[in-house]
Amino acid sequence: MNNIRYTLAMAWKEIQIFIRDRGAMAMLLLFPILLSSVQGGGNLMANQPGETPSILLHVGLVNEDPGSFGSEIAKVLQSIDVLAVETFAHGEEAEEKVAKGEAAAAILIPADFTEKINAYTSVSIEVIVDPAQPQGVSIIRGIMNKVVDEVTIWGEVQYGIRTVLDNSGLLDGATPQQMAAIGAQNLGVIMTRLNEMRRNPAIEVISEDMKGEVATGGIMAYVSYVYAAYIVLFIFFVVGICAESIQDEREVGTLRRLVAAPIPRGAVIGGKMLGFMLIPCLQAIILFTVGNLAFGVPLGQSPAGLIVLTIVAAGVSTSLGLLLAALVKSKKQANDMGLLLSFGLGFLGGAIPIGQLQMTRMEGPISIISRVVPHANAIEAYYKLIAENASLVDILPEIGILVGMMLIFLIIAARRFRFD
Amino acid sequence: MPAILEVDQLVKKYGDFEAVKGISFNVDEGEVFGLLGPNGAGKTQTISMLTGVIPPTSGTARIAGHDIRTEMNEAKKINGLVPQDLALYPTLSARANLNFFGRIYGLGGKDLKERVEDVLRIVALTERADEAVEKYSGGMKRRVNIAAGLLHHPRLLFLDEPTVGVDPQSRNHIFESVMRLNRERGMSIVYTSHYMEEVELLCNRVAIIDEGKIIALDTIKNLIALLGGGVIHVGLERVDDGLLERLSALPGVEEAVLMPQPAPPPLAEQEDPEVKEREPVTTTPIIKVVAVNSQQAIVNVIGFLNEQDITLTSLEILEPNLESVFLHLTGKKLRE
Repeated sequence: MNNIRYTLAMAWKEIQIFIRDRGAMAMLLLFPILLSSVQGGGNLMANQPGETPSILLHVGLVNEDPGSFGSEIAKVLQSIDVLAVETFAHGEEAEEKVAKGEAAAAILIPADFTEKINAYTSVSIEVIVDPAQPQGVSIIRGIMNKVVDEVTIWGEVQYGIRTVLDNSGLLDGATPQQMAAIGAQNLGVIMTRLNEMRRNPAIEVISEDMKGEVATGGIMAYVSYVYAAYIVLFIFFVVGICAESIQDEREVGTLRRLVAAPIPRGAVIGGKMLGFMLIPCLQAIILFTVGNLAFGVPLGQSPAGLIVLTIVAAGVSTSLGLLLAALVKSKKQANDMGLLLSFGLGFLGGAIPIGQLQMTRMEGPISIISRVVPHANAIEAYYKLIAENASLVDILPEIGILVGMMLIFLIIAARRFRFD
Repeated sequence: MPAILEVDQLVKKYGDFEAVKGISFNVDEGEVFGLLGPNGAGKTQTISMLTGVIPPTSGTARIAGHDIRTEMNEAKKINGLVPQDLALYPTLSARANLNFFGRIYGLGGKDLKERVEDVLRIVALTERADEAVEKYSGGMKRRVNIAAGLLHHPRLLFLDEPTVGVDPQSRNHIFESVMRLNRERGMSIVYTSHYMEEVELLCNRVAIIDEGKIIALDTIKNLIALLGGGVIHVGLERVDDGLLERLSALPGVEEAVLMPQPAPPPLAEQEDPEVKEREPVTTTPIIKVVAVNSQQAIVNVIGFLNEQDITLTSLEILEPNLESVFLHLTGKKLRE
């Protein structure tokens, strides 16, 4: 019972010191709000709800087809917001762009593209991709499938109309101009009807999550990811501040004074940890509140999940701070190493958003590697909770990994900790 | 008077370096005991072991009968520590600091409030108790530092160099507080300092500590008596063979010995022209003359040296105080 009182006394002291430190308050509370507001607001202004975010993928296009389908595909590709299409006369030029990493893909439309569609024979569009940009590749692949589907439908319908008219004998004796006019008129009627069906489908497919909620997507999914990333980034800012505070107590001598008092050393460390855990928890509450009220960032369906995850993430952050405090020899070292860890691990764990997806969902080994960084696991769990309406049970794997990391940090810190 | 502190062969080693070399002493209940020694002598290390900050390598101590090796937690409840550093939270007020340290000693509620007011009165800071400590003068900070060690009414208080960097007014206030705590509350105090004036003023008994060892322990009167009739340092141009024996045989002289020469500065320093300019290296021999009667000894020594045609380069008569005792015992000054 006394140990709890000592721990709470230590924690309360940390809070009092934090409240009086305006610099730390600004760094830990105002800066996150400001940064996430700028980011969140910017994204929302640049994108209407339901649209995809305005990323830009550079694509090289070589259209050797003199016919209508080739130019139609080029027009469609150039009208897509997320693509910056540069046209080339020769395939080699476009391929060189990809090889240099200046373009995510090169799209080559062959010379006989229209001719083969009209002849109802198979034809292919060659897409050369940059393996270093797997995320861009998957987006381009999706776009091309959509575009080709569209063109295929046109080709199919045109071929069908022509065949029907030819076989019926209705246009025997008509001039080629008359034949083309009638074909185009029929194509127009059919495509109009087709587009009407797309807008008001007879059968609608609705994507739902496990809770039966309509899954959020597009810009809100991205904003959710950004928010999760920033919350995690800022939660881990406390690493350096915690380590610096302990080193300061060591240098000033208050740690010696505490050790000379009849208080268990564990209570000193526990109180310090508890005090510093409250700061990231406060950050998360403020960021989620601002995000939800100002930018409509979803909060998901599991408040318990958010609370548990935030506490666990704060625990990992402060235990990493304790570990750092056990290793450093000066306040400057604590501060420098803290920043390096916050931003370095933040970058490796996807807490500094540079793509559209969290690290754990990227293709290739990066997804596996990111799992050893606490940030990536915390972001994944936050994203599941707020963007996919997951429950506490759904994020237990991430919670487990984070708790494991916290224990490892604490065990090493306990073995290396110096009180004097 | 029963001993509240019994220190028995306390040793602290760091690898091969022995910071404290088997120190033993007792402090009686109600006594103000001084640990006098230069910086780095091992005073703070000794106190750190006695207060449970660092474990001793060997030896032990008992505080009110509680062995620090086996019952440290009980011992901690009896003693209080005022560390040499200003061990306070500068952004918090004096009151907030004291409230926190009080809670750490298990105090709470009305009791804590009363104790905080009490110690603020002792250190005369009641009126400015709600200001942040960082706004205080060095002396005021020292006083809060002391107050934090008094909250739990310790029977034995360790004051580790409590006047370092303090203005004379605050220093006097600290002295008064220490004396009042001892006189009015019967608090036993272990007072470490390298200022002999403080120790002479406050302490009943003193242990002189140097290089991790106690080299003398007694009342101040008895320690000063070690100087006998006085000590004279005589600088000479040269020391002939048999000179020391002949000086020792002079009336009024108990003993004449050659003082150890200061170690030559490191080579790099010798070659540094600035250092040479600042403090020329002297190799003049100095003889320590322990007198039975200092006046008689001076007259006889000077007369004898004139007869021998040996030029005096310096003459210093040591005042009978702890500084002289330390110099007499170690050949070094306290603040070297």
